[in-house]
Amino acid sequence: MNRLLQWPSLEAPFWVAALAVVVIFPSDLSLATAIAVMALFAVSLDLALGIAGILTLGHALYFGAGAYAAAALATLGWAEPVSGVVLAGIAAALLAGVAGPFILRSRGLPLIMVTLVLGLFAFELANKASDFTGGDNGLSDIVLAPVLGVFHWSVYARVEYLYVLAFLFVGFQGAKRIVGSSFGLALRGIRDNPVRMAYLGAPVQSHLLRAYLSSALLAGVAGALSAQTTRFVGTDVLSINTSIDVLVMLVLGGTGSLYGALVGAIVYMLVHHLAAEWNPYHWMFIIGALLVFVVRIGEGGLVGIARRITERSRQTIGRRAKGRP
Amino acid sequence: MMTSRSSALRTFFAIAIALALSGHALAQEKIRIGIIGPFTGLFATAGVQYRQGIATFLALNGNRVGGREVEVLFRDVGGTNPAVAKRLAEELIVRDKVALLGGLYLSPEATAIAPVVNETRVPAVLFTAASPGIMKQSNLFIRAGDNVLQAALPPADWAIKRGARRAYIAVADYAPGHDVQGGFKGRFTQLGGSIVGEDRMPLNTVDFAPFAERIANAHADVITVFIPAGAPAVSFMKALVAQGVSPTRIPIVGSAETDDNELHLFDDSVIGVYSSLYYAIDAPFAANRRFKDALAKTNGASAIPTFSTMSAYDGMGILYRMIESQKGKPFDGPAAVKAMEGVSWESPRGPVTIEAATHELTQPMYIRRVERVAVKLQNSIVETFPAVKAP
Repeated sequence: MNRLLQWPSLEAPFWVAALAVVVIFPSDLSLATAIAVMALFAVSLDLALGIAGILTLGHALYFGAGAYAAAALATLGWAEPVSGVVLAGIAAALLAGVAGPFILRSRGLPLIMVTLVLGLFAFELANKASDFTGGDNGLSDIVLAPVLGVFHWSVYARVEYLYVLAFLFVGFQGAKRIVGSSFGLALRGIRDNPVRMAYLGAPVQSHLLRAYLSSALLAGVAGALSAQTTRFVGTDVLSINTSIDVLVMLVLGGTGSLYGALVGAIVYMLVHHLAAEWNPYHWMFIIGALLVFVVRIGEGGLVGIARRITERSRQTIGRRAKGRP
Repeated sequence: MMTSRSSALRTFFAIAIALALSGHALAQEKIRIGIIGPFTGLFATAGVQYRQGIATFLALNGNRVGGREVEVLFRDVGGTNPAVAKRLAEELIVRDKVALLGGLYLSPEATAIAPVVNETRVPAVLFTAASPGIMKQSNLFIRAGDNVLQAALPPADWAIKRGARRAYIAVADYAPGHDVQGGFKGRFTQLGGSIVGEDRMPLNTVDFAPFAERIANAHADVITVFIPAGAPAVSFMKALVAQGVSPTRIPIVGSAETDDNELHLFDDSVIGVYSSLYYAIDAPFAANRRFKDALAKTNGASAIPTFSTMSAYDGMGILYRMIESQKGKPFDGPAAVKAMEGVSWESPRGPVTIEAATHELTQPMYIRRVERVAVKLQNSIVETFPAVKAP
């Protein structure tokens, strides 16, 4: 298995800690919910960008598609939330199925341009189609049935958080499976050297498309969760800022390991939140300083830094052990 | 026997006193107001104005009202992000235990927090969110600014009175722009005028040459405009002048495009542009003088009073009145809203009343004209529509 994925010893405690948030921070669950949504979105981006090397600057397209699909289902009377999320994810994947073959023809800079333009286009479309999206006013009359018919939604966000956490867990395990499979290995091969992979006989284009579809599916699920837990969808879900935010989170945490997506989303959102609370007017300085720091310190984001530290300490321990007879 | 009884009595009294004290403490407890505003990002100018308006109010009125100490918490939405506004509202209510919400610059933010307000029964005073539809979403909203239609209709009456019959409507392509377009069009045609052209212009552009050309060729005798203030508004006015549509030849009526804090961006060709707004720097009221003096004292002479500053100031006034209405009892948000229905006072903009049925303000609307006063440009009142009700 990929060396980057060898962090299983920390994963179980992570999920336990995520569950414990409900007990330890009962009045911060609204923020925790937003973080979990963004974490899932970052995982989806990592699948496309970090694993398969698809440089996209327009991933909000699928986040927004999922959000609008979930909102549309709810306003059409499909109040059951879990199936709503699944359907919204599928809708986003279908969209990727249409756009993907066209997008994935290009690589590198042209690919960035195409995804950027597509994202802008979708944003303007949502703004114009105000009958369907509510335009700037957004969609707010999202009424959902209780989760599994029992758990009611509320501002205290306990149900919301656990609901999103469950999806994050399943989505993350799914993504890990993909990355750990031979298909995932092929994707990393394509990311590092597409020409060589083609010479080896790998179906590069269809592999990329499948990776892109799974990524869009997860992004759509994240968007749907955002729509359901906030019961509001505005055009901002499609905005370029959303694409950039998630990219920043991923780069901060470290690309290509999936764990980086989780770490990045948590750290970015928490720093953002605490800084904005500490000083609502100048908090952007702190975010900026954090990003500069991580980029300067080196590759692999926070996860990369942590890994280098553990490796170095292991080496010194090893050296010391050898030094003693 | 005797001792145990007296000790029981003593315990009873102790508990009673403790309860009485805690009840007293309840009435004296600190009350928190959460202000949700655009303190960074695209609309940070409005965030600054919010802060100045609130600081001015606090400087004049202190931080105690109705026997309670008031604490104001600020939270930043940072641009167009209604979902964040909603999360902030939830956090303010659930964790920070605020009793009242204020602020809310954009209408979608108000729409997004409506379910939170309805569920927790924590009222919100909308400082500047102006979309006509939002008041229906919660009976715990009170508007401190205007309904965009209050500003859109008076220009139609005013233009007709001045003899204009052919109007051109140019608005930015977003919800408030559409509201202004619909409102003005309905009123103007109802009064016997005709619309010779209408444009919905992209929101994020500064290239208005094609629109200016269409406007110049339409030979309208009044042009009504609604564009976000800042670079787009400046470019639009320049494009019009370049096409020979000068404000001195054809009346151009806007809203906040040429508000006083924006005027330094324009050159002298902006002189003569009209605007319809619910505040004017030269509104002739004692409350306005008091407001302007205090603003200059707390924020320095460079602080220019705008409609956002004044709305934040007045919004704080409404919040204080709500707290005052609950003096001596446990704070009850819905009751405080009820107590505001029908209340009138003299605001810096003039006499205003909170309508009982809609929670909208009935207030004066001003048609103002950009003029050179001493060394700088200023909006001066040319016509006042007293007591305009929200439709």
